[in-house]
Amino acid sequence: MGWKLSLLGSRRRCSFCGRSEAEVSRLVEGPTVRICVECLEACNEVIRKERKELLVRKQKEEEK
Amino acid sequence: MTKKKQDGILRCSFCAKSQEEVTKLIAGPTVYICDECIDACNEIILEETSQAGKSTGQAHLKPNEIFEHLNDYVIGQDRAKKILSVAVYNHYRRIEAPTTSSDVELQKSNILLIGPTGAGKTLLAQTLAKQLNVPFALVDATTLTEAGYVGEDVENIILRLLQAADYDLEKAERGIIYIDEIDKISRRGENPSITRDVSGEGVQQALLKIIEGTLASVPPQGGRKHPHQEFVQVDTSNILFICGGAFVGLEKVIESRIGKKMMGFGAKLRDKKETNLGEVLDQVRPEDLLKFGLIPEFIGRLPVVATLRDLDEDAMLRVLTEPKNAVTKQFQRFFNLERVQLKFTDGALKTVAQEAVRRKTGARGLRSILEEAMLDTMYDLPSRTDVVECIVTEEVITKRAEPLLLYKKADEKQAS
Repeated sequence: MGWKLSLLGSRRRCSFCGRSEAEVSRLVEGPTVRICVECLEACNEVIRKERKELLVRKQKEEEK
Repeated sequence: MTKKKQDGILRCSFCAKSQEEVTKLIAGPTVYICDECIDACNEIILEETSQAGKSTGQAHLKPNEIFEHLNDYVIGQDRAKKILSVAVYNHYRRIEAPTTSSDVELQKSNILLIGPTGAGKTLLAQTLAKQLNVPFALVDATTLTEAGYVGEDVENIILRLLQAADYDLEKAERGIIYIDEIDKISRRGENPSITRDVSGEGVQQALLKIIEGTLASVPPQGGRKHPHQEFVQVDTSNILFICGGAFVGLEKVIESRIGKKMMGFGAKLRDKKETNLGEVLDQVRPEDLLKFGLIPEFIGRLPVVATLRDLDEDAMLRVLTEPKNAVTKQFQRFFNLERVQLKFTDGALKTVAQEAVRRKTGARGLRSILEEAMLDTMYDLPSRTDVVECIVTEEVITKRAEPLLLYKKADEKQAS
């Protein structure tokens, strides 16, 4: 039901979670894809963790 | 567009870069996004939200604009606000200044905030943090100990900044750290103690180099240092430090220096009201801090000293009503959630202010006074549906009387 409704509502939807424009707070448009703020936040979380590990690794290598 | 089947290489659906070209590729059901595009998206979102709200875009706020913003939340303390706004503005200028070798090298001026409890030191810092576009960490000095002892290491304050900057080292190195309760790491007593003062003098010594600017080894996982740990090297020379503390008892040190205190038969009797804590604190000099228990090296690294005034009755009255999140506004919001209008008479506000001055806990006292007075009402109100308005009078504060309640149906006033 929710799926269909949102399908009718808008064509612009997040390519990651599939929610429509109305269901998310903001959509950022790419050439053929879009991402919503909520997914972006999740991505940030992943990147943040990655950066933290990278930082440690890089400095360790420098020491060597 | 980019189809991943093309050659079996995963590509970002936004910028079409392949997996090898980027640091991280995050997969959705059919689409992919790379870390660079995520950063770009973040910026877009940030720009939009900042445009929607205040114009805290790339252009930095001028000192007077920072001052105005502080005015929305903190009452009085104009001098401290001025010092802070100038310091923050200069900080922006400094970290952005091009560094050519022949240029004059800009060094930072760390700040020491001194003011009685409840005057607004921490609130100033918190308000400042909201509108900064550099990472900001609010840490507290009470938990710190010398390296090797149980308690937090001094480097952990840098870690907090690193976390605030999302582990972006470059960003963190230009951030601002506010160290609260700095007076709690003062040396106990004038003479050096027989045992090591690990949470006082030792911490000050450890802070010296960090505050001045050094390469600090910060354990990114937090916790204390141990041999098998990985470290991140953080250059602290561009991090601005603001230290704040109540320095209880400092006024006595100052008074004894300026010779205001007299004893004997010829002594002038002083009224208690005459001694405004703020006025005395204004005359603070490094030697007073030294006597209070800060080590000279530490004082020297905090060249700017800002003092906050004690709040008097008028200031309390303004604190009660004026700031954006004033206590009375908060209570009104609470009552609104119960669909009740809450009003305070001028007399009531005045009594609260007077009582708060008497308690000497600063603006924090306002809340506790109101909480005490409103307890009964807040206990009864949710179970009553017929009340539309609640008027708090002087008697509610002084005699714990019930506030005036206006009812819905018969529009009659009842002092129940």
